[in-house]
Amino acid sequence: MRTNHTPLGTITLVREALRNIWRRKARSALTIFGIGIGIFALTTMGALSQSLSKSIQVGIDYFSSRILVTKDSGGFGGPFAVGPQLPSSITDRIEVIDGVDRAYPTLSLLAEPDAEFSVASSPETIQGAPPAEAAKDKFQLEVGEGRALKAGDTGKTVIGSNVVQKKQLDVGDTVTLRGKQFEVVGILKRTTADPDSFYMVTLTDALALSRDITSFTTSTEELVTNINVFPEEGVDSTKLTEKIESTISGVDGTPPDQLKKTLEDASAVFNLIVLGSALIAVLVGSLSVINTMIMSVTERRKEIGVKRVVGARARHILKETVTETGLIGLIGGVLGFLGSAALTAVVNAITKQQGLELFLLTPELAVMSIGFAVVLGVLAGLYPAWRATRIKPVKVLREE
Amino acid sequence: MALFRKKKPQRMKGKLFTKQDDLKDLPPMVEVTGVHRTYESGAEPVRVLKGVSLKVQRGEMVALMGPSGSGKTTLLNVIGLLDTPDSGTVKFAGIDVTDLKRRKVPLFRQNEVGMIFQQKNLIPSLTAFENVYLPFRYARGKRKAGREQAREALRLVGMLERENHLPNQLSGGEQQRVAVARALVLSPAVVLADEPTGELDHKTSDDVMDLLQELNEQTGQTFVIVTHDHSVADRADRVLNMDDGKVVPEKRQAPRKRPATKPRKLAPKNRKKK
Repeated sequence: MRTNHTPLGTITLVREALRNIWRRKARSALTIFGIGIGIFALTTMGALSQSLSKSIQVGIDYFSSRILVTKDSGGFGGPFAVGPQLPSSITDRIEVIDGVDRAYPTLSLLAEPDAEFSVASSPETIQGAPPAEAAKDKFQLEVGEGRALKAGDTGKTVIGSNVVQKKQLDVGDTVTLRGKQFEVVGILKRTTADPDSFYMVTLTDALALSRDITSFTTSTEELVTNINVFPEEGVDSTKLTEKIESTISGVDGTPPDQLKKTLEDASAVFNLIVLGSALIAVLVGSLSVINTMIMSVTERRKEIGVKRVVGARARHILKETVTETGLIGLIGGVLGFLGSAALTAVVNAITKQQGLELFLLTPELAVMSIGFAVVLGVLAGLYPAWRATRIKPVKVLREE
Repeated sequence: MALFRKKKPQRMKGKLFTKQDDLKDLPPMVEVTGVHRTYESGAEPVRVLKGVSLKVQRGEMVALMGPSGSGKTTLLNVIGLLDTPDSGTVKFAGIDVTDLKRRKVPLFRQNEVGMIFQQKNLIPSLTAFENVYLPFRYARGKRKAGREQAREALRLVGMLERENHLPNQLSGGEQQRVAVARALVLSPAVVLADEPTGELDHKTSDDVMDLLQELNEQTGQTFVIVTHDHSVADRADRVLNMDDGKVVPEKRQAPRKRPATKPRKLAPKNRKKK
């Protein structure tokens, strides 16, 4: 190996460390592999957890703005229910309750009646809401192309990005929903959450579709899925929820705080499990760095002795050892990250067809993973480095 | 000579390493007095040095001989502050350095002492140039100037052409030359060599000794060389014999054997190129 550069400070430090890593190829490769696997696990799990957190955040933003009133089903369904369940006339009864600012009904229907719920993907749903009322909400789903629904629209729909991909639809195209033709007037921006699988229609259209399905029933009442209730400024939403439940029988209200907490708790527990297991992988990797470096320091104790003889201080030896482990961490971190980026890209490409992006690999996560690998390498190097500084030249210089 | 800057006798710039008569009155470069060193290894403590005293004058080349286990290397380590004596003193240019503060020891090693070892002790992951440059890496404020000095030292030992080779690409003699360059690169007052030719064949050994002798004469640096080899000792101004942890009283030394040819080239002759 020939070099033609003049060594100065940091460059020499790094070059020497790299040569030392190169000197023990197999051992260094295994150590780097160990760190790499750890960072691979951490990044992949981190990307999974980020994707989940983002979808949950959309849910939190949506639900935290309103009290969702559904049919009292003994705990089943709740705010995530679909189908016609509640008479829409309840809306008027709720609106007159003290503390309620406004309320409007929404109707969710499965786009394909026999669709199944699964962990991997949310089913496509038809979401019917009165456009004029929904437009007043603080939380708005952003329309990327075309326009939002407006009052008076008939046979128009605004669709989510997964639907676009799955059905190859564009603004202006026509789509058949439960036997009826709808014109696509807008496409929602991607949320990585449920709205990506929405067909948003007016409440009137949704009710018409629902009537067709339930035509065998004798009920003449308009049935909706839930009623969105917005409290007046300064009104305690939990107390208002209790008031609604006590005033109107057979309904179940979910206050925003409760939902938010439920979602956040679920997210936190998930993140803890996922990141915890990844951290274990990384820690095991760092143990291999400590092990490798102790061996290297023992092998190189004579070199370290020579360095002390020519004037190296303990801090120089410390810096050199830690630079080497930091570099091992960096190389392992970058490789682990690249592996994870490749895997998540492939998996995302596959699951996207089912309307789901399982992983979200952000630049922050990239910096964090690789940075973590370097910090871990440096920390793992501290103990071997400390041992290196304890080496007495007089004891090692005459060793064979 | 940063450590001693404010103390008498002061180093006179440009004259320190000369053998001029006007420096005769200055204290010896190295003065060891009544040094004891005992190692606690195993059940019985081993007394390695039992009251060693010696003086080495400025610019002198002294050979230290004696049977194995007589304490030569330990004495060299004590002089180079790699080891601390249990009692006794070590003086450099009249200044007691025995109890030099710990943080000053690296500075002392950098500036005052150059060490050469039997096993060369080059760093395998550094090129010849980087090995010679090594002392500058740890010497604050000297890094830039060090590049030229390192090249000059390599040129002096005839290894400049091979500055970019790693130690395993050099022969034993070449490695020792690089080690010599490293020991001399910071122009130390004293060069301590522990069997510098011990691992070399006769021819290479001669080359290296020619080099050391030439440097001693050119730079006026003080050399203390531990050796078993009489042909090496013959090159010295004076031979000190050690036995059982003590320096045996001196016998008069025959006139120093001079290098075979003059003027001597510092670069080895007929060196094979790799």
